[in-house]
Amino acid sequence: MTVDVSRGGLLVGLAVFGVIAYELRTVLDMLGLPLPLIPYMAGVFVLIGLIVWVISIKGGWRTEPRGEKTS
Amino acid sequence: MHVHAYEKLWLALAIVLILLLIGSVTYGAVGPGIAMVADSQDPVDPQALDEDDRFAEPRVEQVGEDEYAAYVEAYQFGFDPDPIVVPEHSTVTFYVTSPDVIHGFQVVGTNANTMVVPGEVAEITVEVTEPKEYGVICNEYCGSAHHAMEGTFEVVSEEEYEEWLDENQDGDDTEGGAADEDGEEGEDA
Amino acid sequence: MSAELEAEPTFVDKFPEEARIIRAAMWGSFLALTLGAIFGIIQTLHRTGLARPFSSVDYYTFLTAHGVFLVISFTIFFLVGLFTWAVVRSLDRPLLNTKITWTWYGMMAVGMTMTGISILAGFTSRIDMSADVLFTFYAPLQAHPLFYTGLVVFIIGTWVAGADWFRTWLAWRDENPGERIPLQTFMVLTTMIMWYIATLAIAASVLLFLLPWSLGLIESVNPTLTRTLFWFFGHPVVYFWLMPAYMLWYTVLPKIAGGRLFSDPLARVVFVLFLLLSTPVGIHHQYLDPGIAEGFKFISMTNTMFLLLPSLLTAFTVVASVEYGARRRGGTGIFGWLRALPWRNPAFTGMMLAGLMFAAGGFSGMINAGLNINYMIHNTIWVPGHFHLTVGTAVALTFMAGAYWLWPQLTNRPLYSPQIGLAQVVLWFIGMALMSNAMHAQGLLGVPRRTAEPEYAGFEYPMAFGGFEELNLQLAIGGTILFVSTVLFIANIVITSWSPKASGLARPLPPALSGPEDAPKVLDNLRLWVGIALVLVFLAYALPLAGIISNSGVFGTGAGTYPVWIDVPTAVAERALAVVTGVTATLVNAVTGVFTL
Repeated sequence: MTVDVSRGGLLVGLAVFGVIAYELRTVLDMLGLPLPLIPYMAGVFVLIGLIVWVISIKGGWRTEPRGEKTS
Repeated sequence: MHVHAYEKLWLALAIVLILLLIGSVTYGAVGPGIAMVADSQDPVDPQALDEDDRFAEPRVEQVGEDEYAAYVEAYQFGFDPDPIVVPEHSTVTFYVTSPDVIHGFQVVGTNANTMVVPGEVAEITVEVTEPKEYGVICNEYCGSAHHAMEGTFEVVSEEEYEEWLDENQDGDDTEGGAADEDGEEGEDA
Repeated sequence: MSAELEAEPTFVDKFPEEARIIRAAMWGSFLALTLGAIFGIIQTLHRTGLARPFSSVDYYTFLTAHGVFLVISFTIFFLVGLFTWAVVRSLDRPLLNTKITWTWYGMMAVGMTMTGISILAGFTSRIDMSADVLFTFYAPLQAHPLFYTGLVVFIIGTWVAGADWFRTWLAWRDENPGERIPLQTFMVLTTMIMWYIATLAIAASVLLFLLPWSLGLIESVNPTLTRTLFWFFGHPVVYFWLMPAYMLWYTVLPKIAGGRLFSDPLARVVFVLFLLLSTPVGIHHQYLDPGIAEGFKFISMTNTMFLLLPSLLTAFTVVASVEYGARRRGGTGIFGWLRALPWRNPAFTGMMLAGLMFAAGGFSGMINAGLNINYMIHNTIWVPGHFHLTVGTAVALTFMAGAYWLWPQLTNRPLYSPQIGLAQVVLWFIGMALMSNAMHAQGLLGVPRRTAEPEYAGFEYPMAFGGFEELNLQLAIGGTILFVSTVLFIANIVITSWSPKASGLARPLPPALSGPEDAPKVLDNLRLWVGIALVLVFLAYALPLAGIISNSGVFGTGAGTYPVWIDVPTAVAERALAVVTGVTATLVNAVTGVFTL
């Protein structure tokens, strides 16, 4: 069983997720919880790494091309 | 022309959003009464500012009970007067012009912000409350030392304002001596 | 299927001469991008205080170059290349006379070189020439005459380009009477009409005022008038950047997604709306100008809010077209169809991420447009935060993604590395998210834009969103990632030049789901739209311009001339002398009771 997302889709999804997770820092600051920048950013990368690890344990991402034409 | 049902819905929502935005801006203008910088003051000759009695001696002047006028000159590369001192809980109208190039005048951290154009006088009115010291910066590029162009806007307590007036009596503030008198002393500008 | 592609001729096979011109235009564009990016990283590190190897005075030369090379040269050279491709491809015929085409290209190249030289000469005092006036060149700051002359030559070059495409279309129309204008050509023609209207004002400002003034033929200019004429042009120019990107989103992106454009008529409506509404909104860049009445600013605000409409419509159509493609590829579910899209394709992903960021840029733009709320962010670094999302991503990233798709069809060489291309567009997204977010936050603190050193001696910024210092760090990290991304893009394209040629690189574009035959004929009535556009521009600008001229005169009330190569010590000394004179006079007055001044 693989997670039904291609490698490219995973990359983009993680980038968008990472940016949103990073922006959460601003929301937390507004709610009264200021967090330092570099450790937080590092934390987002660690979180991304964890997600990739979980996906690879569950069988990895989709590698057969799904009727893709070269565009 | 076939327009999909979802597209019609989206179009309607878009127009609602646009009307809401226009409405909120209109509310800001009409409700809290936020006026925009406009052409309320006549043009001036930027190279003859010393013939204009407002800017020959840039200063703060009392024009009514708790009402002050601040005549400010923004120049390469500073502000005059510096610091601009006003007492707490008053209404201050800034009149800002430039003898040289276009500058900006912003009280940092507030919405007191205006372009300063040579030949024009920018008029904005603000209400100040508690004593606080603000930075004033030029936020429009004006030349090679633009980044060094800063001033201070100080809102001080009544007592401090009187002390300040006493100390600076022989300087610019020859009109409207004591600050805490009622009545219209000094000129209306 | 791929046998057909193997046999299908590419654009360069069918139109080799036009392909040469397009490649030349794009190389000019990429050269500008390279220079602009180098200056960008220097600025990022200088402004945030991380590295200041150059002086802060030079910063303004870098900033002028960054602005002019990126938003005039990079964007517009790409546009003329893209539009030439679009016209020739959609009309399926060559240009009328490529001599004219090379002429306008030459004018643009010469003009931009002249302006570029005048800016870069500011780095050395051995040449008495500089143009540290920034991309907006507001008087009374004055640049060297070569700066203005170069811009004039460049813009006239773009006018000739538009004429070239119009004439080619007219020739096609003679050969194809009664047919609807093909969509891409329609987009080109409406964009160029908007451009002709927009550049009228900047041409007037430069030719009537700024250039003669810089040559010493007239003594002074009216700063408010020249500013207003600049912004008459300055808002539609952002749509000049945006509409090629929209063309790619409407006509190319659906195909890459595996589908077809949802609605051709709606695309035409959007472009007509831009033609009508792009120019009558320029005063929204002047909300805080003295010298312009509040009523005109309010009108500009309402026009601007309605200008949101074509962009919101574009969002719907583009997403719908992409979803259609995803479902054709087998995607299912309310959101699951996203997984069926070709995310590994850098052209696709680049355009999608660009569109996503454009939405964010649109929201911060709504704030800018909000008249009284503009007080909070005017001339703060929030504004660059906004436009790095719009021109810096929606346009620039779409252009890069479009280049990945188009370049093989112009050269018969496949892209050197689609994987690096994918990494590049994702890096751009991440870098821009970080940098732009920091810029928006700092702007709310009051940090100004256009300055070499945003830290001041007399005060501290309010503490919020992590604070000024941390946001500087985030800004610098974002900017550095963007620089790396640019290097990857340029390298990929340059190395592709040495890839072996291949076949099968043609990428024909499918027709829209709802085609031009569904579009009301009135949409193609360009004369009608020009007429309405001119009326709207007149309504928005006649009274304000008349007001400015009657208030302060065509040449102003006597503003001085400030060549930007005046050196700081002289300026400071002059001011010090004035203060000393003033104090002395006051003292003498106090002592003798007699005014001496």
